[in-house]
Amino acid sequence: MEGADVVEVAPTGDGRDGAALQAAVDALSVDRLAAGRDPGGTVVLTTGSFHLDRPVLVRSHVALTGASLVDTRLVGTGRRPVLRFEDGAEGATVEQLTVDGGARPRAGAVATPAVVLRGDSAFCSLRRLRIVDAAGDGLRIVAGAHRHLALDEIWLERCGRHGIVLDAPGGRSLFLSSLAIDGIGVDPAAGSAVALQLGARAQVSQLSVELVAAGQVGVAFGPGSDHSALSPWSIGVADGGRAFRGRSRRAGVVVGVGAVARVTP
Amino acid sequence: MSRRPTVDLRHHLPPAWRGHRGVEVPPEVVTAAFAEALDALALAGVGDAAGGGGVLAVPPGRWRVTVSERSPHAGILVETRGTTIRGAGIRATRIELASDASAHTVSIRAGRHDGAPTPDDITIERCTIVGNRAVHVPKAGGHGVSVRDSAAFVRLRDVVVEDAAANALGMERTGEHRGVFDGVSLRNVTLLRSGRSAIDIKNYDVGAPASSGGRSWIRGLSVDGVALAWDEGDPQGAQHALHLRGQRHLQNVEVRGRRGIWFLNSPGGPVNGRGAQRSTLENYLVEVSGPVGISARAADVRASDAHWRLVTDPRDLHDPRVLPLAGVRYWTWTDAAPRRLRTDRFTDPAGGLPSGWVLRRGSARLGADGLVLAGDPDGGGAGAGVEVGCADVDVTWRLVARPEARPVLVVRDDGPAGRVAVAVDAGAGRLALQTEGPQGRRTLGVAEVAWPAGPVDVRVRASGDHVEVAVGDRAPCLRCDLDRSAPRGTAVGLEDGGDGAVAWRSVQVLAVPEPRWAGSVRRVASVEPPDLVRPDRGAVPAERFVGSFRDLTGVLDGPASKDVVAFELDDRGLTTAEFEIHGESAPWLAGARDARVWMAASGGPAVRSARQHRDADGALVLEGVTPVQVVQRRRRPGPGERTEQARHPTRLWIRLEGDRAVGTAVAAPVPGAFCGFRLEFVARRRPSP
Repeated sequence: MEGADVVEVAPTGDGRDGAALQAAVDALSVDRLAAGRDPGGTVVLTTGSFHLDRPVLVRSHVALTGASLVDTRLVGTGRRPVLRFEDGAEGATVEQLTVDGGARPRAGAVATPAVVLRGDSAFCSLRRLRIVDAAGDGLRIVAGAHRHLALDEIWLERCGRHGIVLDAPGGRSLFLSSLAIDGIGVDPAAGSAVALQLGARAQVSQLSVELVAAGQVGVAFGPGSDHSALSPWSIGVADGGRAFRGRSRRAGVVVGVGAVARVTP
Repeated sequence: MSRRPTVDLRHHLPPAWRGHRGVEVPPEVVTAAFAEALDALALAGVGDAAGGGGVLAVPPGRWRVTVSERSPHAGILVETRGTTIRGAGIRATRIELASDASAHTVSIRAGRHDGAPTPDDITIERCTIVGNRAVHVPKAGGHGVSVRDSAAFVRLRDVVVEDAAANALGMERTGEHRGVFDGVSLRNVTLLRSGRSAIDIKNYDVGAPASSGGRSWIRGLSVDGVALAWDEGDPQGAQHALHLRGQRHLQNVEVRGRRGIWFLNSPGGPVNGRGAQRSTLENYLVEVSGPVGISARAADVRASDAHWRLVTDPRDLHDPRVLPLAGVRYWTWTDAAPRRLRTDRFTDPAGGLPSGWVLRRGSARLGADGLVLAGDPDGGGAGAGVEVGCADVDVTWRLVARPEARPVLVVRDDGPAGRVAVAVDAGAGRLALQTEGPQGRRTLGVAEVAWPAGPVDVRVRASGDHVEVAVGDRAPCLRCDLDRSAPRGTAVGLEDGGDGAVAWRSVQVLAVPEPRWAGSVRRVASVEPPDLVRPDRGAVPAERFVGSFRDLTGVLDGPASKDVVAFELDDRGLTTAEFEIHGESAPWLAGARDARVWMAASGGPAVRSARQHRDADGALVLEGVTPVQVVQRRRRPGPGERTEQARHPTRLWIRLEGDRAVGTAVAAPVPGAFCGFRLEFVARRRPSP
């Protein structure tokens, strides 16, 4: 990728990549605005591991693009989110990289989500993203009526609490596709973890959840999820786990082609 | 591995403009820069086997284009295969059409202009394409993105198209050549505020089987606002949000607008093509408001010529799904909030009955949280349906019962009461109300009915905790209490016995959760305005109302500055309606300083009244006329069928007299025709609440 609106960033190796990454994002966003220019562009992350001592604030109109899903890795501390979209972000994108929450199971750990999207965002997208070892939820999309949100090709592995929490009453055009959620509720204190918790109307396709353990839930339809649709899907459930929760209480929820695989660990 | 050539739009601006923001650069300069940059990409591949192409990077900002010197129809003309127009962000880069230009913002033309499919592989990504619908005068113009010829592998990804004068995305052939659009891919595309359709893909494949048309994969599509040009008198009427031909596969789709999704499978005209019968639609939500006050039945009835569908009142419609074509699979559908619903006629697939009468096929069901009318008259089985919520149900079936008739109508309560059936036994002259619960069938009551040989209306009302049945215009002859105390899941439904012993038509289902309109429209003394005399037939007789005033319903709607009364006439014997709107229930009327009439009729264009004057008393008089176009189908042996078109005038006359309005609406007395009217009163002052 070339052009004047592309900034390339490489890991420094000193374990403090957060500032450099944030500076690159800001250079395409707030710095341009301050200079009377139009914001927008792409921050290209080279191969390697970026160790973030602070969350990266993803700003409007900026895309964060890794070299590949496996070659670019953002590693957090486990105590703070790795990526946080600015409130009300518009047109921000994160794609093609791995987010490592940095969490290792330990008693009393802070249940921090790995990626957070807050406020009334619009036209944001997360694509081809792998989120692993989140201390809390893998991906939290909360606190606002998000619009035109696209999640595509998202892998979540070993989330401390829930996999994806989408709590956006009043949101619209929320599209989730090609989701693989493997391992939720890793934190012993997580309680009843949910792989995909919907608190907004969403259209979800190609969902695979492995494995919903005892006391856990595959997909929970909460308030605001009326008229959501899910198809196709596959959920592996162990004894004591539930594939769905709240489906019958929500109006117009449709669960289409799919299957629950009963698995005895 | 060779890198694709990449050019930056800024490098092709005149030096004097390179440091400026996009919005500061004149449209002519930007347009020329786009053309020059695309030329550079085309030339970059000359001599290579690839033959040109590459990435045109468009910086963030607003870049306005006007009509290109290369084409009078386009702002940006993309003709080189392998070209990608890449913005700096879905909302960061905006490519806008200048306000005075009448053209497509971006036009993609295939490598060959003779209709032969070519692997063009043209991509637009990470930008917003803007038309000039909102500002362009006169109101005409192009698409946001136009694709012509038989371009293949066109891709839109992370794109917003907004305010297109015509379609946000329009794909059609050129001239009389083929027009097949294969390999179209849309990912994360948002289409906002289109003058006509959001997407209109035509598929014209000369002499080829319908199913061989182009294929598309559309995922993550959001449409909000379509057919906005209808307000401005668009001669094409209110267009569908998605107007699809060819094999289109849609997944994760949300549509909000005046009309929904149409998979077209009819032979169509020479331009539009066909071939949607292998399409799929999965995970979708359609919310249609309809042109305010204009019946979707009036606006959409043309669709029934192409395939079976249920058409319902758009004012109250949440999800108006179009019934599927054979092969179009609806994996999912949604329930809806409580709404009013009226069914359309079922068509007669078998023939052999008097005109206008049909054999019941399929089934209908009313659910507590969703009304389902399911029918597939062509296939004979239950298919997808329309779901509209209801609390109260009022069903009138006009039917002719044969002597062997058996239960034809079941009002089903999925609660403890079980199924409640209205059984017609025409041979014995009886009507029975029965329950079918876990304990078997139980007859609650039997009424002796002198069953007429001809048609009779059977009215079933389920309201609150009871259901009652009346025959003709007499008082209810049967009543049954329902246990409605059950929580969600209690349902009131309809379905027939499936034996085809009863012919019926004109089913009207009113599922009214609450009065939508206070009912200040009422019929007054029959006075036929002289100008409603049709020259070919003489005076139109003032027909009686069939049923109650639900035939002439109205809603109050609209922003604070105006109010709207809307109603429709249909083919239930109602061709003329005199009405009076009283100021006592409509205080806004007393303050009305102006009024407008909108009309739409079967197959005809939606029009706005042109004539308005004040009579000798100073009262405002409006008159409107629009033709009803009725396509009359006649079967004949062999493939295909012949169609004939007839045009009948539909008229509306209304006079504002202080705090009341008196008017007459005349619909063409054509079976199957629907006419919708909207009276829009512009208030001088808004009454205090």
